[in-house]
Amino acid sequence: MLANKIIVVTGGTKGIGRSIVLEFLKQRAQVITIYSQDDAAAEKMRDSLSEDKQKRFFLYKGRVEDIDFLRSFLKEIESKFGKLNVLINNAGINRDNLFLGMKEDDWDRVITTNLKGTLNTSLLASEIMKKSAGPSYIINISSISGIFGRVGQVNYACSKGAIIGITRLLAKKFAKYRIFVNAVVPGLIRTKMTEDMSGEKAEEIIEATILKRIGEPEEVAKTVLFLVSGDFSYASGACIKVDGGYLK
Amino acid sequence: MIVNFVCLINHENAVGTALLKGFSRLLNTEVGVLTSIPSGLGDLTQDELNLNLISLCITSDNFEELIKGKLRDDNIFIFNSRFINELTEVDINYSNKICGELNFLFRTIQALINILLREDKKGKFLFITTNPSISHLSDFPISPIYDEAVHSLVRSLAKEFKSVHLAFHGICIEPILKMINRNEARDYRKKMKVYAMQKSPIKLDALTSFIKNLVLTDLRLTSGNIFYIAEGMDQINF
Repeated sequence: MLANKIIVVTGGTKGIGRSIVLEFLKQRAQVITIYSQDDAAAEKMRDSLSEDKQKRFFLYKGRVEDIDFLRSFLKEIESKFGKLNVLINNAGINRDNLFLGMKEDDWDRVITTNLKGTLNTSLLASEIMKKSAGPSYIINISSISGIFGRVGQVNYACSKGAIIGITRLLAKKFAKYRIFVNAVVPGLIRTKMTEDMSGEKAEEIIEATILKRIGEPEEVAKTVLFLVSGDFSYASGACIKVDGGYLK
Repeated sequence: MIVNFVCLINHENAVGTALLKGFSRLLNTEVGVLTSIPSGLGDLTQDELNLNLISLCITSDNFEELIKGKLRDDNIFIFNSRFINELTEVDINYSNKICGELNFLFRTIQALINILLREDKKGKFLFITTNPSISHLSDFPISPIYDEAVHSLVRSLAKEFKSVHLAFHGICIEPILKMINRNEARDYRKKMKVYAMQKSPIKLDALTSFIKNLVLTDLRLTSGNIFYIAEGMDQINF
């Protein structure tokens, strides 16, 4: 189904992004991953792959908020692979703090990486996708914080809310090019980000879900896979919650 | 509810001007305008609007002193819609504009909350946005990225400040008659026939009068809500 498809995953060496990459590799796709700083995690990931998967796995180091990097990266993707079928905008950061203690730099960094990174990567990637005959897909990874808001995460929530806006706007803009734009909205998922969270806070969130458990990154990855599989063909601009039935 | 001080943040469009006019008719209420640039009052002449306008600029060194002197027991801060024109194809600078607007919001809200808490005053924050779910049916200027970000901001701030006397709301508006031309209005009505309420563009006076009444209501029990000023149910349900 996805064999030989060209897939770019931003922030793909850890957490949800890593699971998405592994899922696509399993489907025999060619997966290109952008990571921003952790060389060790990137190399560790590459080393953990089978020889066959390593041949279809490509690592690029850079920041999604850096427009010059994005331009040269996508130019290289186009010349090397000749097409781009799927873009997963997963790269994101958080700098949590109570609103009154939040520094302007922490506000700007989160907004810049999450909002600007997602929008600019999508816009530039769409230039390649528009040339494609078949359908292309952009999947943006948002968060339930972006829908419900969250104490101590005003910057993150704001940026993830913006990603929902980006999804709706680009879905409308790119429909004529057969570029489908949808968002996945994860709840509490087992990643490094949630490991850093206090047990009490995590329990509070789990208690507020219908399923009463934390989500696994693979569950998000499988949702992403479904959205680009071609079976989810009558939807664009949709926001799919993968949150265990979060009730807050 | 008696409101003593209404501050409009970013007044530079038809909605802002109409709101200023509306609030000028309230007795015992002082109306302020907060801008991001010192000359932000532009061509808003006080005589024309019959207002006792106070220009407050977030970048002024004495911003805190200025605003402190104006605060009363109940204060309303209305963040006007930005109407950032929708993205046109590939425009890399578009994200810079949105990030800039959100940075201004962050700095302004943080400064205002700090002052309100220090002075032990009540504050109500209203953010006017546009309805993204039907926005594509008219040429009404919209900015869904900014607006969705603001909705998340409202919900987060409402949760964070629920224990103090601060409330946060969004007011989501739809195309306004005065801001689109006659042909657009006709097309919009035609497209809206698919909706049960067969909506028309809103009249600006009706909208500002509604917002004025909303402002004068004690909304603390509904903090964190986005009010959709729309006939029928067109709000987004996730």
